[in-house]
Amino acid sequence: MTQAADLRLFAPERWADVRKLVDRLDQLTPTERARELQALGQNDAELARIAGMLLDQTLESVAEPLLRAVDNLFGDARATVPTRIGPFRLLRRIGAGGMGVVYLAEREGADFTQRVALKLLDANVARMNRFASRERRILASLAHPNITAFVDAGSDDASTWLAMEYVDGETLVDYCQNRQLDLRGRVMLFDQVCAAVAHAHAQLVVHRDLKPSNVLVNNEGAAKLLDFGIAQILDVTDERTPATRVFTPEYASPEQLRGDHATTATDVYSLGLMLYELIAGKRLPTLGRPGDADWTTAELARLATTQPEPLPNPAATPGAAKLVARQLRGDLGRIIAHAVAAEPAHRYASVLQLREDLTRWLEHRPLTIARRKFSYVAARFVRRNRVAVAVAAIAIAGLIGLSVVALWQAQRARVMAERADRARSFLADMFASADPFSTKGGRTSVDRLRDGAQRIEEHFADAPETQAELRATIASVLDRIGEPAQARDLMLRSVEQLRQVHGPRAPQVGVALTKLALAREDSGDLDGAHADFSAAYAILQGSGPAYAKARIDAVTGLAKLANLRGDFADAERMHESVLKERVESEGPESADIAMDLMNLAADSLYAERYAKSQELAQRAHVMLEHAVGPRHARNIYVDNVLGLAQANAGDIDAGMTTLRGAIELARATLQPGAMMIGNVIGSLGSVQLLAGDYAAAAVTLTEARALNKAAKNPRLGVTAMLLGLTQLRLQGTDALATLRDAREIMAAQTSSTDVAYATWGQAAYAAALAAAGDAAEAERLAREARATLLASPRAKSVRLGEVDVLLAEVLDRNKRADEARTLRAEALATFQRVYGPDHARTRAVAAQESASGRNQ
Amino acid sequence: MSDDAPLTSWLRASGGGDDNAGERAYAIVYAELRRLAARQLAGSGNQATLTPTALVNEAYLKLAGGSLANLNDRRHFFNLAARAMRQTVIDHARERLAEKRGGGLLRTQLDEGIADSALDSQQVLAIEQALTGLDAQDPELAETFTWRVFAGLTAAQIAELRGVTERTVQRDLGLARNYLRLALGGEG
Repeated sequence: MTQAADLRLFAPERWADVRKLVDRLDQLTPTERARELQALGQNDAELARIAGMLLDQTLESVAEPLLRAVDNLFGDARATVPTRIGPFRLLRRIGAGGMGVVYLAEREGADFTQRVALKLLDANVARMNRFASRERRILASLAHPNITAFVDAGSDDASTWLAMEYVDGETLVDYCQNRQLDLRGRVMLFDQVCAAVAHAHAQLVVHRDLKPSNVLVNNEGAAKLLDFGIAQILDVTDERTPATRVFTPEYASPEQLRGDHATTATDVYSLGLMLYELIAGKRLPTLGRPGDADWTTAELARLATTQPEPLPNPAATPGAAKLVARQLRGDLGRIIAHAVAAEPAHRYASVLQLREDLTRWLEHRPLTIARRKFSYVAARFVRRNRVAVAVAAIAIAGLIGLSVVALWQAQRARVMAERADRARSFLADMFASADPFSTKGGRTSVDRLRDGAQRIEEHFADAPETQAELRATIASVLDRIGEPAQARDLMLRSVEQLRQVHGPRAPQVGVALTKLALAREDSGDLDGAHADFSAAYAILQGSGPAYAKARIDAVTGLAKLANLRGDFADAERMHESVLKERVESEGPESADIAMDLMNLAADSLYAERYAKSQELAQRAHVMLEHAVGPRHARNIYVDNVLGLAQANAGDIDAGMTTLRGAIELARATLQPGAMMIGNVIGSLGSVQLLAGDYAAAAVTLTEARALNKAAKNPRLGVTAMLLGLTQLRLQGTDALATLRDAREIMAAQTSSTDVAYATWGQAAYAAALAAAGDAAEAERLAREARATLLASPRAKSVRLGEVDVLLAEVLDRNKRADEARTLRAEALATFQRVYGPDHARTRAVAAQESASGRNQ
Repeated sequence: MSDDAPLTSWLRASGGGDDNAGERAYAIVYAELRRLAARQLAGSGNQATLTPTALVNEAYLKLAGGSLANLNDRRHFFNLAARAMRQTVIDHARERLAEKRGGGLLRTQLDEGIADSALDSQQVLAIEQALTGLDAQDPELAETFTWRVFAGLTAAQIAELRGVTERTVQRDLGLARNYLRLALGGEG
């Protein structure tokens, strides 16, 4: 590197001298050093000067700008600002939000220049969504003086963007403080915000992420609500990144933190928090709180006046704090407490009602809400010794991403109640000691989780409920990061403990059993999982709406296992009960209900009731697309079922189109190694086989098999079998090997392989064997396959027809033409029964039969 | 999904003189640091305070987990991390300067923040040049300094990596700093 060498200050030998001298001088005391240098100066003044300078401790660090540069480095991650986006020219960055960066931009028109706030959406977020007409309509319908107007939206290969009216103003809290607004002024300003939210609710739009920083106030004193509608449009529960939820934990309602859907009541909650913050000058510390405890006015008042970091108070006069406290103990506090009730049904039923009470307060009239009896409030207010759900949610979100720093920082930013504090710092400690130099050697996150789990007992000896919660939290994470065995052990302990603490029939035990069952399922212990799901369901059956989610999880778990066993009727019953429960609690349509319909469609598909399956799947498809848009990953699962149903019900073309669409979506939205990609491609292959398009099927199934293998997909056996069958039809020489391979794979998974497929595979193998010359063994195997299938619960399956056709082929080779003909006739009857007379497969077999008939 | 194994083996291979492996290891680390940084910012509504220490530790855990028990491997890792970080700082500074000189990217209505750091950017590049010179003059001093500034390692940690006392490290940091000062023309 000649260039670098040229940048050296000294020649190498000279530097060597310098170093030697410096090292020697360094050992001396300052006085000795000074003397040495002076002596040296006689001989080599230059050397002495350099040495002296190098050893000087007092000089200002030149590394300062460097250190500053490194620290500031990521203050502007997008170092390059693009110049144009769509029809807008970007001027400068004005901020960064939860979903992307915001710029000030301009559009030149014929006779105007429009200024907008242009939000460039984060790649992760944008990938999931396009601004289709439905979204635009929603945004456009929100025209209101207190809502930032939607201007335009668009996307191209590079980015997805959203242009909103640009508001030149301050955030709500800043505005109030900078202008020293008094209480009444603040309430009136807040009422503008309520007007905006009420308007949106009237348009059936929920904000979901209301917080003071989402409100700007312009110079005319008009409040403008930002980001309306965005959260609803963009927040879809994405399976891949469960942590990507578009709300802010500090301002989120208990139901949002639980993972439930946001409703207008959620917005009411957020408005309550906002009002408190406007009045008290600080945020209400919601995160340390048990998720079901309401606030009393006394608490609100106390918290407003005794907090670690007080912000400047409203109307900062000495009596101000007292005034605020008094108001919070009075009607204003009651309004807030009612709005932030833990149970959505206990809050203001609508924003309009909240506004009514605000007006009444301003006019000194009695409120609409009843005064609570003190004893009632006291009884309701039970301080429970357990970790707030929020901690768990945040912990999981942080840990799943294995983002040590994010978790630690997220934890640090919360102000929590004392006991929740302990739990939090415990969790944080597990990860804060990320010292790679510890001589115990490097520790993986899994090690840390496990060690942490072991320490729970000693740390929380006095708090068994906290222990159980922490264990459950850690177990979930372990399960998700691929350590189901450890998760299971942990959950076992958790279940035991919860039994002791709450009693064996307590719903908390049911919830824990469900998680245990999932862990067992993930580690392959299907019988154990079944037992646990059943036990969980037995407990949760009568536990009421609060435990609906856990109950649904238990039933869904049981249904899945039933499907694996081939007990389709059972599975269907259970899925139907889940659907019923969900419709009761959520209303007629939702993304989850669409998935329930899909499960039912899948049940019908396995039971070979194809017309019904198609109808259910079609409904699911429409509902899901309506709920989350056509590009959401969940559509893949629904369309997989739909495509198979369509093809089997007779509309092969529609089925292939649907599946191709699903494949494209899967490739575009899933991780490259995801199992589902292989599943959908395999589905397409099976349809092509069904249609008789062997050449295409061979290509598709080859790819599917490779993908299944790489992803360790349990469907590998079936895929290989279908491929082998295709190769047999193409009279390829590889059919035999492929089918033998497939048989082995399926044999190794007997508990989860459908006997209909296993026997089909055996018959196919037999046919290949016969083609290769071993007719005797082939006949034996084929007959055995048929007998096995007939003796099994799946005797009525359409696969019997396939087995018969294959056996007939083998018999033909062995000159047993009569029997072969009989079998083919039976096969035809089977296909006519299940597929109907017009189905491609039926017609193919009919043609075969009449051809063989002619040959007699 | 674990990147542990590949990184470790690349680190070993590059230690054994395989430049290609070294480059791949560097690429992994560099990419990871950038990704972490971008994710931090995209994810949080507020500006997260990112320090090199946090980032490098994060990258370390993510990429190496428990598999860098060997001291040499750790040295390698931090060399790469520091190098990656240094490169990122330089890239960033260069981009900033290009902006400031009006490469058509920003209008003149700049807020002050940008103007300030443009000043720093020039200094950064000058320091980088001086540091390159130190690389050539005294690799050990340069390494110590780079680890301190770019990987955020403490004197104690650097001492362990190098197998010397903390005092030596402190002294070397001072030497490196003053050398750079000399190189930048400030002769005290």
